[in-house]
Amino acid sequence: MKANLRFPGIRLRKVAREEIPSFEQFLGGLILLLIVVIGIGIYVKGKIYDPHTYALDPAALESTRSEVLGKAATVVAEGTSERIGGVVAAAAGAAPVKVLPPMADGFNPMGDTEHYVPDTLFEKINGRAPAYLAFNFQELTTRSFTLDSAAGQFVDVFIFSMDTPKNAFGIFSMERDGSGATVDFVTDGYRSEMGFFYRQGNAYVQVLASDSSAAVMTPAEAFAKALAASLPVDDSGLGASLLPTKYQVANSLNFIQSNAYGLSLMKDVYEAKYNVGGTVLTYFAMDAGSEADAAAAWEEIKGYHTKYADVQQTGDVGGGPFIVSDNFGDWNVLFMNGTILGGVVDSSDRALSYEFVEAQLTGAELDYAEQAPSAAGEGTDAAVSEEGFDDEEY
Amino acid sequence: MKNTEPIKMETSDMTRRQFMRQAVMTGTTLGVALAGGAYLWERKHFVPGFGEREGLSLPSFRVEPNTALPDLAVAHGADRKQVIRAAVDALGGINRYIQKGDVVMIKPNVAFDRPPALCATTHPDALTAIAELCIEAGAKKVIIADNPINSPTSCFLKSGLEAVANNLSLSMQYPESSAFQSLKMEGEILRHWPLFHRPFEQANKVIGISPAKDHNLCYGSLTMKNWYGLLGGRRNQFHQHIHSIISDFALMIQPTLMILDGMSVLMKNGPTGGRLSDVAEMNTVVAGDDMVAMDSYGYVNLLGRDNLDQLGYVHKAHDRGLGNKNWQELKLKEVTI
Repeated sequence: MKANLRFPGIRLRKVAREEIPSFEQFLGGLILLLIVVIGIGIYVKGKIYDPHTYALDPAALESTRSEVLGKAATVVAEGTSERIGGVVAAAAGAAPVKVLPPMADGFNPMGDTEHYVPDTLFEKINGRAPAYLAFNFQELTTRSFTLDSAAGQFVDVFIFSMDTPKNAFGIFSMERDGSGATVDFVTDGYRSEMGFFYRQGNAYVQVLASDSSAAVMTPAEAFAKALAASLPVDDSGLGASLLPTKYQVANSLNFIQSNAYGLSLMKDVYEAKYNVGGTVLTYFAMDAGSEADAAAAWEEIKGYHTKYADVQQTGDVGGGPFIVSDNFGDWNVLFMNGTILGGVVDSSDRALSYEFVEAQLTGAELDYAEQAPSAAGEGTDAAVSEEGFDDEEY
Repeated sequence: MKNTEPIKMETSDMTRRQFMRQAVMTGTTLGVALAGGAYLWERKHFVPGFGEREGLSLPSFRVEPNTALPDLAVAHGADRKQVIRAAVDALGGINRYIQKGDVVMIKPNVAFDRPPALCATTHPDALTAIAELCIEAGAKKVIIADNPINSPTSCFLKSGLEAVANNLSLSMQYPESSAFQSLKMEGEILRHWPLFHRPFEQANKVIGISPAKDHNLCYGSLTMKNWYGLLGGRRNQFHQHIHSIISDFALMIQPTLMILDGMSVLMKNGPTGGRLSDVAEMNTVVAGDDMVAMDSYGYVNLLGRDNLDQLGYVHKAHDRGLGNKNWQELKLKEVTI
């Protein structure tokens, strides 16, 4: 080192080095090599870059050409989804597994079990996905099967896992086929012309047949039954018990998650139809959770009916307030009782609606003979009787 | 005391030869690096949403307008194939649209792997009717193409369309990665996006066959919505602006002929359905090339809705001059068989 003449005491390094240590040479070479490797990597990556990478996996496409394996680019491969545990047990008492096996004799998988999570659900049901996501969808497990007994036919099985039984019931009831026939192997389920639909635990199951013939529907039913038996039973959090069962029309129970009847505070509402002596009534109930929340919702109900309907009667029944309103010819009899709000909506029969509500609140027994719904049922202008009302009149 | 002695720069031991050699090596390295960079720089590299990109646009596939013939045909009847033929005949016949030697691309809606009875996809009989008409008109080749977001093979098989293609020897084109090209257009929201383009490289005529369906997000899936199936990538992100993207399809493509199949209409739980009770028999087929008019007609008369104001994409497309939502103003021919 030479002496620094301008800043004595600080020693200058030689600008030009006469020799470079071998380690530094090695390191330099390594960096150069790394740059070359990165360059090659970028080149190769650029060559195979495809903006449609996420559209489809061509390899999967080719492999499914003849076998119809349901594979899209981001479907989680069979058995690898970590989102939730297995959803179905292959046999009674067995641990749940991710793979959906043939649950009945004569079923042959058309491909692998597919799994879809919230981010990929659109790949399976596209524009329908938001409806499921609104009910806190967690994972879809689905598989298709051919049938030994019906050549060319197939059965598609969908298990939509939601976060709670309540939300599973919500999406199930939202899509319900009102003309479906109730099935006896689950609490909430029906048989449609081309499939079976039910809620078991937090799963909403669809077993879709490719045809409405018995040759397909009979084995589909066997599958649906076996699958139901393998799914855990869990009715926790369900509020269907808020509704009476007497006179309830089969397959009419409905769950409204939010904004029921256009009111923001009306949420988690259960609604069903009742055939009372041939007149069909729509009755609902919700548990607000606290008396304060119930009072707030009640104020919203009253405000709405005061503004947009003609409130004809108010008073108390069964220890709580009620109102009767006429909304362009449709009668509403609504009440609050503790944390519960409920009532009959859009009825053609004021007196019967009141009687029905009163019976729910006082425990009185209604005694109407079983009768097919009359032509003057719900939504028609049946005669309105005010007999029996002795409360405050508007 | 201040040191005033000038700083002496250290002299290098480098010779002229060494300097020249190092200068040449440095220059060569820089040159190679620059040349490599220029070579690797992919001018057409496409990242959606970033910067100006090159891309292609689709030509119009419409035929010359004929004022003597109807613009819009509505046919009613019980047999799907016969009703479709009647609708096309009402427009002047298939020869108005397809000539001998044409290569026709038919774009069905094969969005889901569902059986035909559930009406979530183009019905096999509808495809059969149109493909047979094209073949009768002398089409050299009929291509069937769609990009279902789910497994294409499964969708084509379960919808029954693969069987039709096999029976009539139609050319099925699957949406393989290499079949896409970057689209460039000045849509409201659709500007640069991967398009399933390969079928258009051969076809000089394009026919869309759309089932009339309820749709969870846009209320009605009719003719314009059908072209969503040509997009690649993670196209679900457009669901946030569904009316804008659908109206852009009227700008993206001007098909030769559109068929709106309203024989069996998925009235609720769309676009997937799943129950026969979701389906209503409307026994109607609409044909024409004004998708805005057809969607306007279909929403009210096939889906039975009275809130056309909700169908945002129809109004957007109408306001941009891409069609006429007032279908009554078109020359309409209605037939019943």
